[in-house]
Amino acid sequence: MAEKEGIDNNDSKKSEFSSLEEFDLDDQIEIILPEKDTVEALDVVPEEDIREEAENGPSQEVVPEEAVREEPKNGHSQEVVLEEVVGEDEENGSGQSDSDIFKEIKLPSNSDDGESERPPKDKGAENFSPTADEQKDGQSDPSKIDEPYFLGVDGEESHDEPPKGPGPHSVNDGGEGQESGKSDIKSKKDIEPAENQKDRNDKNGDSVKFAEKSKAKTIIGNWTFTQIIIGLTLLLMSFAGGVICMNPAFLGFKKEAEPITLKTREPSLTVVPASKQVESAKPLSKNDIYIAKISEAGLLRDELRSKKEEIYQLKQYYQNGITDLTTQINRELQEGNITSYSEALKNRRIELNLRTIQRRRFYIQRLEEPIRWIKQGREELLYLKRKAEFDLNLIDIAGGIDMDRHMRHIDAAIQKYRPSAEKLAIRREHADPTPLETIWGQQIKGQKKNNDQVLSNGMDQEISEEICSGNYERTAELTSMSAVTARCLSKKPGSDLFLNRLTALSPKAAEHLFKWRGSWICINGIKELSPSAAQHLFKWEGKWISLNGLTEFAPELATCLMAWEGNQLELMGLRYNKRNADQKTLKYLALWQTMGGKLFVADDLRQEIERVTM
Amino acid sequence: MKKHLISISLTSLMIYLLFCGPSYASEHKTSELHRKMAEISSLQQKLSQKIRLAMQKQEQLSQRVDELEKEIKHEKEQLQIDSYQKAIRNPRIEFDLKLIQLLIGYIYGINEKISSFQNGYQTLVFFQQQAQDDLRMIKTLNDMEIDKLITQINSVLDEFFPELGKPVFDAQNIPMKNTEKIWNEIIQQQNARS
Repeated sequence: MAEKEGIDNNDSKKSEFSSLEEFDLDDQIEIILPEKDTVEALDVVPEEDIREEAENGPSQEVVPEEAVREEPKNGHSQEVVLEEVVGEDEENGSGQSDSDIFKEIKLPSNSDDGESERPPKDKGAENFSPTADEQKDGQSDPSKIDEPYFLGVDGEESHDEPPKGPGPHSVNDGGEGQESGKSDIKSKKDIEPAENQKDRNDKNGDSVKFAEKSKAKTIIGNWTFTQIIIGLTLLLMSFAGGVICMNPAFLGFKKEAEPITLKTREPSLTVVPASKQVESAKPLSKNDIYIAKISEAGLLRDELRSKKEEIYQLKQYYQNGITDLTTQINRELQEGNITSYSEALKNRRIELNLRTIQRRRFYIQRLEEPIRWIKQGREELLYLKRKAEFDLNLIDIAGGIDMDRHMRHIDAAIQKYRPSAEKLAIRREHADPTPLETIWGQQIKGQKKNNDQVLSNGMDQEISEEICSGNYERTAELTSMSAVTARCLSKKPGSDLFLNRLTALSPKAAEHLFKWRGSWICINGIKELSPSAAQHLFKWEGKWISLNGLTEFAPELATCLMAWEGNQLELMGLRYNKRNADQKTLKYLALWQTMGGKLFVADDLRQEIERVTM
Repeated sequence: MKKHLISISLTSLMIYLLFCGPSYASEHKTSELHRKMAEISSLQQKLSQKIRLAMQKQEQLSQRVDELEKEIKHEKEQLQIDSYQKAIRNPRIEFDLKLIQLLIGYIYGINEKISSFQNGYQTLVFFQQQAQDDLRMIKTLNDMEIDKLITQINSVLDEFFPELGKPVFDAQNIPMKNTEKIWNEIIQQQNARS
């Protein structure tokens, strides 16, 4: 039996056909446009029926729709094929299948309506056939399917007694209805809203096939409530879609922020969001990434260097403090006529000063550790940086170069040598500070120093003799220099001369020494330079002088500097002091720089020089 | 009459084959040689570019080696280092020696390739010269055997064209000179100067 009944869960009091049901059936149904008379028939449904239908069960409305199909095989001129619209489960509101709903339909509720007066045969004709599922299962009797039957379109018809027995039984019922109404179908066609006709000749088992192919048809008449609801829903959804499209944030999507225009008096500025700027920026090439990483290593080296300088300054600070304390102790010793260590310890001030010296010495010693660590880090970073640079330079002609490996190594080194409190910390445990007695012994009036001086003089004598005999191997070990030695040394071949242990330079020695023909001279051990020695120094024809031991640079020296033709001067030990004399020196140094000289000084001094230049 | 016509036709055909046949063959050979010469020129140009680039890189690397050597000498002087064992305890000298070792390997690889390319270039010049000579010969005598030359040219082209797409050297496969040897050479240079 190829009948199914659509159920419309319509709350409205008016009987309606659901046009949506047609669409839901999709390809299973064949939509036949309503004939004019059918539509008219819909209009003649009594209002009472509609009301009663609403009362009986607002959730269920059987909306049968039929298609009239002519089949030439049978002898009939026209067959009425009853098709139904299968209501959506959703519309049922219960989530039950249509067949279930049919069972829930109560006969008594309909028995009171106007339709109850109708002949039972008609009712039978309007009874429901088995559900689509049953039909598909082949439970229906194919022999009776071919009986055309009528199924009303009214709501009350939908409330007719549901099939009580199995499929075939209900088919029988339907069949009766159809038989009784058979002659009426054609005559009623004009007055009934919709009529279902079945081909009687379809007795050869095609009924099952037919059942599968049964298609619902909704006759669209006037705008129904459902249609309006659906229409409105669609409209609402379109609107909602538009709104969401305009602002995807409603759904949690991000939409590119629009530029914010600042309203100012000036021409309006457009603030482009950061994300947009990022998008517009060109992606970095691999080479750029490598170069950036190499630069990062270079920056870390600079950072380490400044950290090292800080440590040196700290060491210097402690050293200066020790010198001050030693002076104080010596003063106390002289004032108190103290000669022995035990006597000295009785003096509380001397004892505390000795302890401070002890602590500071310990600090100075321990600061060597971070200095070593920094030095190692700087060297390692330099090595990796250079290696990566070499390979990067050759990457276009060489194979087997793994720049990513370089980057990994640099990354690891950066991680390893990034200065932190933990890495720079000095270990105070397991350290034995110099005993106070030792310190006491070393501080006694510089006796030891004098002894050392004698020893070093003897050594210098030996080296001087070697130099004058043409052996320059131990030149760098010289701590003092006579004019004769300087004269010998001025004949030394080579471009570099290192005399960093030299602590003083007499004008006479300077006169000879700076006749040496080289390009770089290092005399970083010299703490003070007399103007007369400076005159000779700055007449030297070399290019580069390192004087990092000088802490002061008198204006007289600066005047001499102006005459020098070299171009690099290192004065890293120089400290800025806001005295007039220093201001004058600064001006000379700044002037020398503007003349093309390259000056290496500490940052604070450089800033002052720059300030003077400005 | 018919016989007469046939004999005339045959005679004409023979004359055509006699004169135009060799002419066609010589044209073919000429064009073949011209094509090969063009290929040689193209390869020469590319080889020349490669050689120039390699030499440029080699020069840069040599310069870097000089700088590193100078740095080592400076460190040696400043720290009074007189032996290799002491030298490698100084990180700067140690790393500089390693870098020199690497660069020397690179330079070796580049030099190998430069000489290979130069060799190829010279061979191409030789074959181009021969092709030009043969062309003149063909022009004069209308024919000449060039198959052997073409084969030889093809052999050179096949050898060097793929080389253009390859790296000049493989950084993973370079000879590594001993750092102590490098150190000793630097010291010797210094002593020789002084």
